[in-house]
Amino acid sequence: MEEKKKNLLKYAGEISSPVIKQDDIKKWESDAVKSVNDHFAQKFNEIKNEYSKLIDEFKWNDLVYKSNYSFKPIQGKTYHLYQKDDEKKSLFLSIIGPDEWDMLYIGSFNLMSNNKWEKIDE
Amino acid sequence: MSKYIKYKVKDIQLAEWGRREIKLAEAEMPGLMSLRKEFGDKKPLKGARIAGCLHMTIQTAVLIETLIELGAEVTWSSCNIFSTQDHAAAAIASAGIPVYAWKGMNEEEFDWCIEQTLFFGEDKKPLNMILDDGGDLTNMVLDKYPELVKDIKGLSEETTTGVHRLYDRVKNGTLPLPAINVNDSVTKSKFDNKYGCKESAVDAIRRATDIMLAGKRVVVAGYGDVGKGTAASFSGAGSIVSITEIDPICALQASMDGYEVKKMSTLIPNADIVITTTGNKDIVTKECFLAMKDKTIVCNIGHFDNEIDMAWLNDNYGHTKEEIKPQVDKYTLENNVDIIVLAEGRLVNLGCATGHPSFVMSNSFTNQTLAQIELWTNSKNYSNDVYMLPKKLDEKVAMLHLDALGVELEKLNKTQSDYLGLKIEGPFKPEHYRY
Repeated sequence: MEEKKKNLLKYAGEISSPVIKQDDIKKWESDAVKSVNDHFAQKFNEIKNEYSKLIDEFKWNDLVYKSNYSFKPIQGKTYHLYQKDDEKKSLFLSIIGPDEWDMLYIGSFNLMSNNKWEKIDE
Repeated sequence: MSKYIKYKVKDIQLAEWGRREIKLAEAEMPGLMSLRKEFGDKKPLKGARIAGCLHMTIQTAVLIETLIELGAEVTWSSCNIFSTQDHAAAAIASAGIPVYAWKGMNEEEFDWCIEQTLFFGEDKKPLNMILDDGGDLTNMVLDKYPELVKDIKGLSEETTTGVHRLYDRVKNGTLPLPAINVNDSVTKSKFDNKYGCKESAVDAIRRATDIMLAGKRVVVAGYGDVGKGTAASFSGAGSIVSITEIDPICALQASMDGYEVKKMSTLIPNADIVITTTGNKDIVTKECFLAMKDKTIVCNIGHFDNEIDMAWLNDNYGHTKEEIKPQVDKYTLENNVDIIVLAEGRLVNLGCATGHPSFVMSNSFTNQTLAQIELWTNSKNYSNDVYMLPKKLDEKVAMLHLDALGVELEKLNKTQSDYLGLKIEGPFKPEHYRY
């Protein structure tokens, strides 16, 4: 059997050698992987949230733009979306606030300078 | 009812612009401004809570502020979902007057706006006078809030449609308050119909098409007041005008005024412009369209959009419709004949121009104001019926506009007035005089 090369040993091979302690790479690796995974999970989550927020925004914008209104909305102003109580259940945009009349209220939206409708949280 | 809302307009920041135009209009509305001078101190409308429902325009703003100057409290909505001038509404709201109107509302919002005008201030005092155009406010009160009727002294109505509704109610015994028909005052209908259209018919065609009118052949369908004004409008622009009529008297008038009077089928093939003024339906039909030459301009300045058979045109050639610009559409018929339709067959002077000038509206609105004063101060003289303004007041409306035009009026002397059997100060004509 070939003699082990002392210079490659992971432990002390002679009485006079210093204590050789191996680094716990496994633990480090597991810690590192966990941490990097946490980082990616967080990023994925952020993007997922961002994406779902974007989808949400897109859906609201689509809804508002496809609703009925015959006036030209003004940027920076708030408008309110309602559903008519008719067969078509059509949506319409109004300057009348939800507390000012009795109409099925969907939500309020601010028209931003980039013409995006931003939903105002109640 | 929900909470009290001080006003609802599209954009209050337009108020300053509105105010500048109101100032300009005041100079062109001498009748209303004279009433402010005459009655401003006496405040004959003190105590009146007038709910008004009439196109919320710059001219209407001058009416509203005249009523207030005369002592009334006023709330306002527009009688059409598209007719509000947002800067006029903003100026009125900014002056602290409850106005609920914006351009491009829907039916639900329209009803909501009218409803807001029924009750005044935080303490929600109900209206006690109605000023209406078309009868929507009247119908809302009579049908939905009948309990308010007992405190309302009367209503004045601006237009033919509203007046018809009132006469129907008289016939059916369902008019519970006195009404004044402002529409049929001479100084209203003649000026609205004849002189208003004389001013705006050509204006609309020019703005929409920039066409040279001199030398063009124009067919005017109908020779009532609107037809007379429209024909004069095109005549003044150098067009060759022909008339179609069903009424022999109007046909003879047109002929004596120097117009050719023929059947539509005779005139149509050579027409450059066809304009309907009849108030009737089915005037420009499928047969007319098919007989037209290339680039004929078709429009309506009469009443509704059914004078021109737009339904047939859209059903059959809707796929060829091309919007040249808003309110100007080109349809292509067989053999590549293009037809230019203005304002989708609706009122062209409103769709393609700016409607009546302030001066014309001053006549209408001076009648409205006098009707409100009459009903508020003399309500005991009126029962639940539809009345016209007395001839004397009709003459007064005209009188109030003369100074602004530099008109010098002759005066009867005693001998002359005795000879005619008239009072020196009028009225000068019998009720049946047709002007």
